[in-house]
Amino acid sequence: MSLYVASTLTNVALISFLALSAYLVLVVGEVSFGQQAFFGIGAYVTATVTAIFGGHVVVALLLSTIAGGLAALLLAALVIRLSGLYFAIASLCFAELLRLTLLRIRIPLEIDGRTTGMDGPEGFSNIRWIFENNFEVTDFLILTVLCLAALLVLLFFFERTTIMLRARLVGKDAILAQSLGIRPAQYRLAFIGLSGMVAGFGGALFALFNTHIEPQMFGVMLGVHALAYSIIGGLGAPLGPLIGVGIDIGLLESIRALSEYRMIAFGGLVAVLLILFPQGLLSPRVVNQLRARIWRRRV
Amino acid sequence: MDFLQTSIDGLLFGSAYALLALGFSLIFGIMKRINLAYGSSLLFGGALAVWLEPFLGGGALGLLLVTVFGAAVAGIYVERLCFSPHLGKTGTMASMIATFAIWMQLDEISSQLLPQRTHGFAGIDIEAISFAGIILRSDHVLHFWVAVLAIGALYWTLYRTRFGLLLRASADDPEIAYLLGGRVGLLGVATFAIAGFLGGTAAFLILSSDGQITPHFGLWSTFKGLVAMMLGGVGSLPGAIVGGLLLGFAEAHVTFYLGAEFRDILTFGLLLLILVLRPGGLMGVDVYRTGRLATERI
Amino acid sequence: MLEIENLSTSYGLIKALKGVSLTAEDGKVTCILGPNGAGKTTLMFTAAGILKPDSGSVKFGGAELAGLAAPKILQQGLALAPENRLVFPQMSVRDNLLAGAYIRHRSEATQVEEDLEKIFERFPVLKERTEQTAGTLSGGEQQMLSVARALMSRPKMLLLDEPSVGLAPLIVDEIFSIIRQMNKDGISILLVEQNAVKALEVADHFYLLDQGKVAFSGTPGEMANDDVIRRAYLGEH
Repeated sequence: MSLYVASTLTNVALISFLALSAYLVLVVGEVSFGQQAFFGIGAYVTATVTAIFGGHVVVALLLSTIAGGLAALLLAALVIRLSGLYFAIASLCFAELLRLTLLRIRIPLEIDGRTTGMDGPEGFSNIRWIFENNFEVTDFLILTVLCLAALLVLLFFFERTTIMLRARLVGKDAILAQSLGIRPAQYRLAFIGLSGMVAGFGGALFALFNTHIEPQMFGVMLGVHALAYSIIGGLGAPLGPLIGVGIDIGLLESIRALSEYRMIAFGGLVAVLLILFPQGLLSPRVVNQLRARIWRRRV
Repeated sequence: MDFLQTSIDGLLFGSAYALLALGFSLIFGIMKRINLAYGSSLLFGGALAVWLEPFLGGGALGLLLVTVFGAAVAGIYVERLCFSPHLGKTGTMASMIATFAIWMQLDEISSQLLPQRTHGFAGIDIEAISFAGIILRSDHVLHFWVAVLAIGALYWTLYRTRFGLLLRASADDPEIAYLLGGRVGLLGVATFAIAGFLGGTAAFLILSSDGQITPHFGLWSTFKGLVAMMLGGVGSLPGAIVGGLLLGFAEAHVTFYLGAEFRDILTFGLLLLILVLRPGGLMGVDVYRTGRLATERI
Repeated sequence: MLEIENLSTSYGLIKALKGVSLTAEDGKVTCILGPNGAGKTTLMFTAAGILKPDSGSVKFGGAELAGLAAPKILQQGLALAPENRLVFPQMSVRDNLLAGAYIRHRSEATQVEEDLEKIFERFPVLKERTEQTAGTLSGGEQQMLSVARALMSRPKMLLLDEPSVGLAPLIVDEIFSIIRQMNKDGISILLVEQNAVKALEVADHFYLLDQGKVAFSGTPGEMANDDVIRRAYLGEH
């Protein structure tokens, strides 16, 4: 596998974490423009733990996940009364505030003769974990894919629990859910927190892989991309967001010959795709039909 | 004196924000949806104007006309591709993501029209006015008067014409408006064209006052328009005006006292604060809590 | 005269009307009764052109209306005051009424103004609230505004969908006296109503709709004598 293909695939896998995190928020019926914030928090936490404190990578990943989850909970608690457009814009503000704050924090450090630590717009350089542990790109790809697969399996089983069913009901019709004794606020808090954890974990891997991170990487474009993946892919199953990622990055890379006009073609394509499949490719309806078909065959 | 000077500067510049917010609010009022490609369609207008300038000439007036025209055409394109195919309750999300896709597309087209990234954008040369120690930048005064004119024209259209009556009726209840005989089908196009005129005018004012255009203008104006609209109150036209002026006012003061780097922190901090404390904005009706939108999602 | 013949309409996958035939005479009040889900509102929506019928015909004054778009039907003189979704809440009372006259040509501007005056005579409550936002009116006032708005298109026949639903008894009396008055002034009315007792006071002819079909047709006298209807709709045991 060439280096180029391996690093592209790793990026696909990394962005999939963000797409899945956007998916979890969409399940409870909210739209978030701010998932990139939790991704960024995860990245900065892991960078700090490994590059500055020399902490173990498992500790770093764990702390990143927790930090992402806590930040998401903080946002959710602040704006729990909001929904719809208001929630979306509040999450956008939150993420932009974080990014702008990161741009202002400058604590560069000199460790073993290399500059590291947060340095405002210059970012956080020399996150040397993969060099220190002799990770090749393909090794890291395997690690990332394994983590992603584990997450997908977890979500797949989660999909069949009553918690998920109730969450989907909250997402579809909060008032109806309430009349059935479900508390929408609890589910919103929980799922937004969960989405922050997924994003934080993905961000941690992102920092390890890129060895250099900077606030501009976590702009609104990243978050809206993640959202778009979930919606193009469909909200029926956790695989939907991954299909979205595949279409975007797969197509982006495949029509690289037209690289200059790539976004022009892609933007139009997504709009047309949405006219043809307004609910995304793997919409809940399609997933239910597929499920019924598979089930029938087994019987 | 500094305070007064800064306030006046801010309010004058804020009038362009108010125009941006009005375009945004108009689209939201009729469509009940957010148009992420709004700023990009304005960028497209500006880029087209700069690109065509060597062929057409016409100076500042030429730039204004092409910017407004380009923004309106791009707006109609957005409506046809992202809004009219996704009518009905279920289409809201698809429609928003489609506008995101077209945002990227229009940004890219504009970048192609601006190969050197930063291009000059001719301003209008009028001398600054000085009065009792207060200096009024001529371009800002022009902002103000053009904004007043545009807002006047918008209100006249909305409240004094048959078309405006239909537009308002349709914002309240599109199905009943159709039942009463309105040609609601083309209302979307008309709304986006008007929003394009308002936004295009704002874009021209801001770009000519900056003296340059870069591909960042798309995202920038989407943000400013969105923040100003949400500050004032979603879907409320007076709210958009107040929100725009307030944003200009606050930005000028933060820039003056704390420095330019705090300006955007203020913008988003202020908006988050308002959303937490008073979700409907300062003057708005809380559309998600009252009325039919309460049960709808983005 | 409105002649509906063998009309079938589907609402999504549900067949809501299964071959309905009825006639509403000129100058009369015709009333459609029926339980919830009988297809009454579907019938009104189909007649007004909001829903497209699968088959059957809707003739008004001899012209075929089935399949025409709502604005065209309104131009033929058939106006609907729909149930529940009554007024444009953010617009003033006056603008609501003007919106009702939207299809009338620009050259009729002076007549529209005159009609506005007539409306205010007929509905004095509305006159007091001309510039008030319609959303702030009470339920009964909104219902009157809805009827008044339908009148502003100068219809030959008014389709009223449950005008009394959710209103206090006194207001219901007022609404029905307005219906009677409008009918006296020469406007034919097709009325959908749950309140059969009140409808008996104004209607000239009754239809009972049940599960998408006409289950009964007759005069008020015939209806009052029908045992089943009396028990189900007039609350007698």
